[in-house]
Amino acid sequence: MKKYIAFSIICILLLTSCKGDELLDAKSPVTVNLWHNYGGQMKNTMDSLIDEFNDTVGKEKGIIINVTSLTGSATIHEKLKLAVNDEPGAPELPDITTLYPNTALMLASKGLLADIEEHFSEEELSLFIPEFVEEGRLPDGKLYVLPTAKSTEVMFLNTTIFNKFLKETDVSYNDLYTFKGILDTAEKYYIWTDKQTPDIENDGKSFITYDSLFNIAQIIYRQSGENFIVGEKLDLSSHVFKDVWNYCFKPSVKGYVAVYDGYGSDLIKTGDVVASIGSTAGVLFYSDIVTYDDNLTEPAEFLILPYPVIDGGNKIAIQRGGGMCIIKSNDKKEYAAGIFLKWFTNPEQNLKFVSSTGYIPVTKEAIEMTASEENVINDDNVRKLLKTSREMIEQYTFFYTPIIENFDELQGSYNKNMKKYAVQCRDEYFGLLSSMNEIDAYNAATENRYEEFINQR
Amino acid sequence: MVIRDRIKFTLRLRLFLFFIILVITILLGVLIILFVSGNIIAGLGKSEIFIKNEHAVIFKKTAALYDDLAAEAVGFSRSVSMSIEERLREKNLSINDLKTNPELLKEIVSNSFYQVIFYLHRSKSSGAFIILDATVNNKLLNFENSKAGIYIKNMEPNIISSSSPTIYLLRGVADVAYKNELPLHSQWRMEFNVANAPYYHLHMDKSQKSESLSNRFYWSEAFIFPETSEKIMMCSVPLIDTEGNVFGVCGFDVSYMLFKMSNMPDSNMYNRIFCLFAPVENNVLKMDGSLFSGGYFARSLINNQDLKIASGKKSLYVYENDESSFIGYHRLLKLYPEKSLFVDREWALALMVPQDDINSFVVKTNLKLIYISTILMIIGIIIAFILSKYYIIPIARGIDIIKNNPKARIKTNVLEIDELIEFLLNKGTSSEKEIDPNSIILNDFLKNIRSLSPAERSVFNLYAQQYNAKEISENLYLSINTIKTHTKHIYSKLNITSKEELILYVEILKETGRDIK
Repeated sequence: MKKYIAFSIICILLLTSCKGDELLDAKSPVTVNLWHNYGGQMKNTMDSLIDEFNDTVGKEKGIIINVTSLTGSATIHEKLKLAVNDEPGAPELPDITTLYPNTALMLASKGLLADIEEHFSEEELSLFIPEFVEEGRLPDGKLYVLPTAKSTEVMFLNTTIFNKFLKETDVSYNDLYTFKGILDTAEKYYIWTDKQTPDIENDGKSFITYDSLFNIAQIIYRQSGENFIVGEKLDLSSHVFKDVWNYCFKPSVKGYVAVYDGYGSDLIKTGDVVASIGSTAGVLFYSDIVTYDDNLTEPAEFLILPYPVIDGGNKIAIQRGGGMCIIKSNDKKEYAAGIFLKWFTNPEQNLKFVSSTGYIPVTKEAIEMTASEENVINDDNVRKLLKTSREMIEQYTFFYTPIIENFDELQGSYNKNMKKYAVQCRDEYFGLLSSMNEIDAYNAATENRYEEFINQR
Repeated sequence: MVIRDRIKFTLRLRLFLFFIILVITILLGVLIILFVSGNIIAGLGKSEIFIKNEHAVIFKKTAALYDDLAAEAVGFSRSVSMSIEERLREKNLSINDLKTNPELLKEIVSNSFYQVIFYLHRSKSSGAFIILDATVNNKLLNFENSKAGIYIKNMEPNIISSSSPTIYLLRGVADVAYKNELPLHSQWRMEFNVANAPYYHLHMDKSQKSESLSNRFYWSEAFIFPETSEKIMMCSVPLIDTEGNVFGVCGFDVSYMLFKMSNMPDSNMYNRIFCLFAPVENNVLKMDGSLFSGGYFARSLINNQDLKIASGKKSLYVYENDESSFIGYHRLLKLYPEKSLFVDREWALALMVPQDDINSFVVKTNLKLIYISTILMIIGIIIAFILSKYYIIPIARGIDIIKNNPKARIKTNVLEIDELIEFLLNKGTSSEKEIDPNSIILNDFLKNIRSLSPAERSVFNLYAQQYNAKEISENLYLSINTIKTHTKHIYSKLNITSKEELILYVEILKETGRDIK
């Protein structure tokens, strides 16, 4: 009897272990539709990786990865929303999509996401950086978003322009590691550029732009040991917000920091700013040429610096970049999607992907490989970026934004209002400069604006 | 009679052979039907139908896309030409002022933004552009090849309408992007480099002045747009003022991605099937200027080597270069009207599959047919064997009954055999009552008895009295071997095979009252 029980158990185990592979048939491949946001120059890398998968593991097991949408994460969010709500003209849901945990929350609430832990064993997940994995775990405790490539924020500096500035002023590269140092440099840069055209007053140039004012605020709070988002609201009453105001609003009004709706890489392309704080994933958008207003061009070299720290603050940076999730369809497709994700996050593939995109690898082994196999990285900026990222992984603590449903709304309205206030006050400030000194003009232009901002609904 | 003696068929063998003939006839019939209906060479026939049908669908879509884009481009040109001239007229300026007034040039380009966006959406193309014959800075090196303009790219032209389409400014004054909250493309430049741009220079030829705009649009070969990484085809139309002077061009592009996503062939039958839209010169498909669409398995097949067109089997063509050979179908796609300046430029839309794939499909399909026929034949033979065996069982049983137990009224449950047994029994019964003295068999037997030698006769007599061989040997004082020899001779002469048969004949003779002496 015991023999029969043992035999039955072995049979069940064998059947269970083969269950997934039995679903697939190399002669009749299953097509797995993928939406991703790795566009622009990242597209070629993604395409060649998908080619590689389809021609190797995919061919062997019977899986074809088919990209049916390539667009930004905001558009993916919008399209997923349309599809989830079955609105007219909505596209069909893909089988895998890149997304942020907030978008995943929307899909998970409708029961549309597969649990990643059903496809990855505990051992397999232990190879990932734990913080990266945990970001994809939603409040119900299930892991829905697998980190495929993460990013953080860093400072991009056009050294071609900065070096000219450096030669003529007393600034130093060492100043660029703290917010205070950067803003002092920005002030000096404004004055220096203003002096280039002595016949025109107050036409200095901004030194830097921030891609996300909201992230700046979050990080400054964290570096000060506090949280910007408490519950589902922004904590504007904290004394830390005064620092945020001084680091963002004040230099923006004075023209040291450019206020811009797009990405800093655009302003760097036109020489309107020298530096920008933004996502590592934007590295490929930094052109090696600066084109000025008169179509004059000059080459641009970049230095990529770690995220600045406030005086006395902790070295804390934000962890960005979503991941990929498996959308529920049928066992066969879900299993095939799991196979692709395992392959895609394998250190070898992960390194190939990050080597030409500016993302940070998600497994410990792949991070080590960015140093040991640096020669495989062709793009100078990506090489510099990965070096900086490694330093940050060693020295910084990473945090990720809380997963709350109104996150996009909070972020959107904060960015919009802060920019609106800054632009209004900047215009007023520059208008007043003709009749009063800088301090008086600033005070007059910004009177009561802080209180107004923190008390707004 | 001689033949029958030579080859003796059992009833079962005859039946088995009849069944085999039936099986072969049916199989041959099926194969003839398949051959007549064209299925016997299913691989090629099926491939031809599939490729031509798929080609027809893609051809129709492509023709419609290119026709629509050309028509839109002509409308775009009229609209842009008119509005630029109108704006300049309002300022009492002329087209030539654009060449000397950079600020005016920037303003005119910036003001064209909404027109470009409008026509980009309307045309459903992957990019729309305006290039003016002027530059913002004519003091720069190579300024002759730098032209101001605006080029807006839609990165997802074939995705459903979205409130936030992925639109980038690829060329143009950065202010246009800033003001309209449009991101700059990662490969953004302020101006167009027209150093090697037939889509621009062909329209600058003043001899074309009298031609209608509808005859002046031009489709470029596919090329990598300078300082970008994407392959595109451009449809350009000259911008013409009211006096007929060309002051720039405008138009749309069809990106590699747009072509691929719009014309992806169905890869269910052949996963390496792909579609090419290529210029044709001297029966050669020019790969360098072509656009490609196909699955991931097909992409690695394509290189920049031109493909020579040759006739193939059925109505398909063979496309070859030094490295590869494909089978497929193509048709010339007319991109220009009859009176167009570029009407002599030929383009073909081809759908093809690697020759190896077609060959292996044909072999596979026919092998399948052979396998199925063989299996059916084997099954037929087995069934014939079994059926013939079971069919003969009652007949064999009937014969056994007749042989061994002629008086018993045993049924075989086969009507004809039972009737035969019944008939023979009845025949036997009537013989008991009225024995035929002329019975040939008995007469022969009696006759044969007389042919026995005296010694054999003595042995026969004792057998008739139901002695066995040993008893006969003792009785006649002869060795057992001698008795056996006599017995053998007796059997031979009497045409019998056993002692029992001998006794049976003797009994019948006795019963009929005939003397064996």
